[in-house]
Amino acid sequence: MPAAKPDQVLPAGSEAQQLSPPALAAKLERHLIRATFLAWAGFAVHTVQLALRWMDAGHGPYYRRYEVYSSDAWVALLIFLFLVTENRRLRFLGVVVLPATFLLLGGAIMSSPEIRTLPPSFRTFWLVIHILFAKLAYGANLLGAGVSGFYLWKERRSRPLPDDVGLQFPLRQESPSLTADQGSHREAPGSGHSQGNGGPARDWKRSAGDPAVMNGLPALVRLDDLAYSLTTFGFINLTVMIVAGSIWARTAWGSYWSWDAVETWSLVSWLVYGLYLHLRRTYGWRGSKAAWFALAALGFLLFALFGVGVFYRTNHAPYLG
Amino acid sequence: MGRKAWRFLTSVRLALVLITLLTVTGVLGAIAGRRVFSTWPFLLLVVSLGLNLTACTLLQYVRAWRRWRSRAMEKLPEKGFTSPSDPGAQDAILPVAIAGEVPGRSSLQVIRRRIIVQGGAVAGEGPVRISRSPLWLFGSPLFHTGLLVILVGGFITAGWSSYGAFGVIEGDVFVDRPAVTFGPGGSRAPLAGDSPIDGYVTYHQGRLAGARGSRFTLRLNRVDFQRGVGGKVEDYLADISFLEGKREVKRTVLSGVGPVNFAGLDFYQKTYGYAPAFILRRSDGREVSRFLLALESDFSGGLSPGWHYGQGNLPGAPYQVRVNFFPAPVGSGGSRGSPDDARAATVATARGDLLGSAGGTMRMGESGARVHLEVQRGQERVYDGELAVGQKAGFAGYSLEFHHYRLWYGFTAKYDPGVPWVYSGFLLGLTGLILVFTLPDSHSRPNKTKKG
Repeated sequence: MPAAKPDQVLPAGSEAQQLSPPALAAKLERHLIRATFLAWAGFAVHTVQLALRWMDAGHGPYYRRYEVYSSDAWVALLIFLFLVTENRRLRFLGVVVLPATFLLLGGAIMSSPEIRTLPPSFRTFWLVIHILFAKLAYGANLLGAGVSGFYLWKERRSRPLPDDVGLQFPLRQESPSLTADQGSHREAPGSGHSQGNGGPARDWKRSAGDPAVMNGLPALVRLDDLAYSLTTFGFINLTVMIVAGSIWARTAWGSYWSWDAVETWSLVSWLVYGLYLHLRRTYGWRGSKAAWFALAALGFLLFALFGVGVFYRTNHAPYLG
Repeated sequence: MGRKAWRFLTSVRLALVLITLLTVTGVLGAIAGRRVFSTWPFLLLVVSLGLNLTACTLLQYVRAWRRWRSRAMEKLPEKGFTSPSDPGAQDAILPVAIAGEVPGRSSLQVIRRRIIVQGGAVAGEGPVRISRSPLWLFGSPLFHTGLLVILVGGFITAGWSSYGAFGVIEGDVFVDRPAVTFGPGGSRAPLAGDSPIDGYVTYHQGRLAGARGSRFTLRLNRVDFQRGVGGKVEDYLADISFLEGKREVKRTVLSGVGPVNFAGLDFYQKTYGYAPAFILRRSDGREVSRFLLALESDFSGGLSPGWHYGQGNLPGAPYQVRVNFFPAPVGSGGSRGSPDDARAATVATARGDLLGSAGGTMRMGESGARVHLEVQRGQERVYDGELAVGQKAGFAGYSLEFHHYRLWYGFTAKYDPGVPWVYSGFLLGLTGLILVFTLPDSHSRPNKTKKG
């Protein structure tokens, strides 16, 4: 059945028209442009601040909580902006990255900004490698988990409602977890494809905001693929981080592994991400299962970064203090 | 039976179970303490994982080699693929549709189903050939080989490494003595927690390491401080000599930046502290004893300690002594002779020229250093006061002179034959990871649609 266009049906200026998918999409696009511009502006200011701090302290921003959180935020933002530059449709990730950046900067501001002398064991090339890859790992996995979160959200929103018969796509599906992707390509409610009772206006009110956001997001398969790519990238960085840290520990203390709390939790995180990759590559875990797993895995990683310093006495104390 | 066992050993399911168990054990160890990682269940788990890893890796090599040999086979034509004409169309590779190997075709060419989405509807779909560098085949086996080599290195470390911590006062010599022979009928390896070597504060060696001979004699010539802005200690340096008999065979400076190697051992900086020297005399001037008290320091505020404290029995008298030490203010003088002149130029000693010849006579100079001394017998305190260098405390027919002070330096000597294995494993593993994940595949980017 050919669908009528909403703006041909609805009176101009009506609430329904303001909530119509095209109007919402345009509004969303304007917000996204502004938000991205602000993110770039914030990133520029932050870069200058870190550079000044570096010059002032005489070492990179990786010693004590103030510097660590601040540079963590900077790297997360850097990865986000890089992805956005590559693909504008990934701007939605700002919903995850920008609040995380805000929280990290808040944590940094709440910490002491005092510049401390770097201990001799910190004056090594391996520490720089260790920290650089740690930040990349955390940034990539944060974004990977963010994409997974969006996957789950979009998948849930894409499920046909009891009174709403979604458009059935003729895709050949080989994984039940991706079945919902059929729904992701479904047009917004009320755009003519929806055949639920109650008419288009009822559908717009019921899910105000959803159509524009939903259409702005990449398809579920793309989200799934992107989450996998980011998590894989994070895993590689995590591996390099552990290797470099191990070599540094050997240089500084004579032992490449001492089951320190941070070491142990990092290894646990690495194993969890290893499980994720095995399950995905060997058992074909995709879709919501993989997304939930990526979200849970991030919990381990965040605990290794933020929780260990609170609950344990660790030889990373100077770094986390 | 053998085939079944091999299948079980090479199953990914077993690997997943073992990795999960290892993760759970890791969490338990993080909660309950690192002793979990030296228990038999953990060891059994790691050995099982090692066996599984070995079997899986062997299988991966066999498969990779087979694919490598068949890589020159004919190319698979792209077929069944349709593409929309709309340039704004999006496409997506549907990863679940990986068809894997194509019988009779090169195994390097896998098929994915590419879905073309146009305006929310599927506009085209079909298989797409993806070609990869043949090196990719060896990425995963290399990565797993790296993990195996790391595991082997870990076992070598656990079994054969040794670790000893000791302290030496300036001018003194430390001799690494041969291990004690245990048991009446011969020797056995020391048990974990044994401290068989006289002079070590702590000493551990792997369960599989046997008795050994002396490996080194170390003399601490002097300790210097490297200071930064505001006089804060940035590092403390030990000028050390390794001796054979009385002959010096190597002289070097140990700092916190990295270890010093000698005779297959790595020597690391551990800590430093002060050691005030006292002379105990009777009231008639007859000398009873001379002794040094190596003090502990609090480093919670950084490398400039907050306090220095020690206690012990007075040698030759039935009294106990408690000492708090207050170093002299930081001097601005340069360092005395050091093996490394460039380094020495940056070194300012805290004590000026106070420590003339360690172990011998001391030039007292302007010290400013003080000790707060408490002497007591049981609960009865017989002296409580402060002394500068050269001053004496009198109590109960004795006099105790604060004669001079030196510095002591804490070392750890480490022998770890597992390190080369672990580092080789790192190299192999990272190479494997790079091969698996970074080699380009020609059609892997989803938004590069073939037009027309």
